[in-house]
Amino acid sequence: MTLLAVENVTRRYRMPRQSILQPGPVLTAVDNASFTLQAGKTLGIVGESGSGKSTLARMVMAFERPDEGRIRLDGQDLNALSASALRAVRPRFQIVFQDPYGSLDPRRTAGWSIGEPLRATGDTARAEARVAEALEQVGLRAADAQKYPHEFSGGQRQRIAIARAIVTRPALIVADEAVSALDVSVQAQILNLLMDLQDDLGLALLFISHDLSVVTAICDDVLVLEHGKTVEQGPAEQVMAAPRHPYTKSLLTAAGLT
Amino acid sequence: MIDVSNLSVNFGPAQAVRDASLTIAPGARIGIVGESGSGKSMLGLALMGMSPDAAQVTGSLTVDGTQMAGASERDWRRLRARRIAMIFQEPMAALNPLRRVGDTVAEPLRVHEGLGREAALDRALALFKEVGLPDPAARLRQFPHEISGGQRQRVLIALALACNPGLLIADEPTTALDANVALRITELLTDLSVKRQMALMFISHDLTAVARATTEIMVMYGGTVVERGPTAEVLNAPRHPYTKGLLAARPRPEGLRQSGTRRRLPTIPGTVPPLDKLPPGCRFAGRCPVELPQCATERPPVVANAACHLLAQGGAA
Repeated sequence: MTLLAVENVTRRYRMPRQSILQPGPVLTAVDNASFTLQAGKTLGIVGESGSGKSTLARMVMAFERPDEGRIRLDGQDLNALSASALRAVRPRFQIVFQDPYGSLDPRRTAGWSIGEPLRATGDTARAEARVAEALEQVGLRAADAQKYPHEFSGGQRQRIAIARAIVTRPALIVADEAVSALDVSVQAQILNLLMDLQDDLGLALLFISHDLSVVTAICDDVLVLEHGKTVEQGPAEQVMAAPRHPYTKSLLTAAGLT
Repeated sequence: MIDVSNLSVNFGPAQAVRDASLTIAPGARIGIVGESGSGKSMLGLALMGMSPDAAQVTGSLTVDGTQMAGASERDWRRLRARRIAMIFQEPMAALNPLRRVGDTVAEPLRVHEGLGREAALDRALALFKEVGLPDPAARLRQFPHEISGGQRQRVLIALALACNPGLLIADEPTTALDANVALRITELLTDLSVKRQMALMFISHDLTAVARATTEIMVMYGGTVVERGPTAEVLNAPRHPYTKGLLAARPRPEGLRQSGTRRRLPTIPGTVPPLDKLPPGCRFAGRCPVELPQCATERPPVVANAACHLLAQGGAA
């Protein structure tokens, strides 16, 4: 079943003007990107800084509107929804960011942060029990809800960010460089956790990363972006074994995978 | 050139580096790998005489035969830039945003070698060419925000090379860069080390980069060197249980799927304890899969370049 369909999506930004007489030049951050993601599957978006991968993530999360094209979740065009209708479907799709320190409020307990998506959608019934459940699903203890972000290690903070994403029982999680800031051994633990959660909860994962070795370890399919353009997409094993585009080849070489 | 023996860096009861020993010969390329909190950056800073004020540094550190342990800031200043230089992870933070990068690179030449402005800028131009900056003459007059991240790192390498140091310490030089750019910076550092017969100490958690840049490697965990040896040997046939666990945890594409399910990555159980709560014996005790009863309390002997009780008894981790 198709959960997420991104159809011919383009996003342009106006750059700062260089002269007072002319408007600034236009940068096409994402150029005509299309893909679908099936329920329970993982799609990796790979690219370097400035390739448009985070812009794509923000559009999928409906934080930003595409200039052209459509993004459908469960067949519904996200950008056609009213603000309140969008809020009503928010529990279906959640995001995990790169920096768990920057994305958690240092003055609020872990439990408060994890419960925020529930409060934001007005779904506060049994909130405490669901926060406790989410903490246990990510390998922490229910009692950790009372602690503050500084009391956790980097890997544990990323677990809290993941608990916050799964507390609404979503169908889709967007992971934007979610393991990039972690040490190798911690990264392996978090990747395993994501795979376990997917198997247990049937989550689909849009996994955004600059690191091809991580993407190939976790993703079913891969999409490679260069300067906003899709240069290659296909099953992860196929792209790894027989990359067709020179840019994909250069990424594989740089990652030491060839 | 540099001889370190039993160097320790303490913060009160917390030991960031414990009894590190190493010798750096001219032109050697040494990699230091380890995860956050392993002490690798603290070791690098100690070699520059730049340990934080709160740190107590003990042990012996000689540079060109001169004992530098406990040396004054003045003595260190004579060595820095000219004998030992350092580059860091974040090139933007290391450059003055209000100065043209040419002036930044010319500064150590004026301070340490007493060159005039014109002569120093000429040398900066030659350095920019050497580090492969495109259109070097125009770069001299640019500000840090006008050039890319990879070019900024090249400017910092030029700055570090300005006074022809015998040792360049590169602390996570490629971590903030894209994979393709990181590869080129790694190649540049290796080339410079070979051409100039300059020793290179490459500190990184990126095992791929270290494998490319170095011939010797030291693996650190919890402030101790757990294993060392020729880079290819250690990475292809690790012996210490920590090195083994670290290498196994790297995501690898091969054997991704077994009978339709995705393979889980091998992990090291638990987390790195805080520095003041490390076990007194082997630092890896408590997380080690092949731990012996004495590991937590007795320090492991170093046998054949690995610090491990089990290996010392002739076992295999």
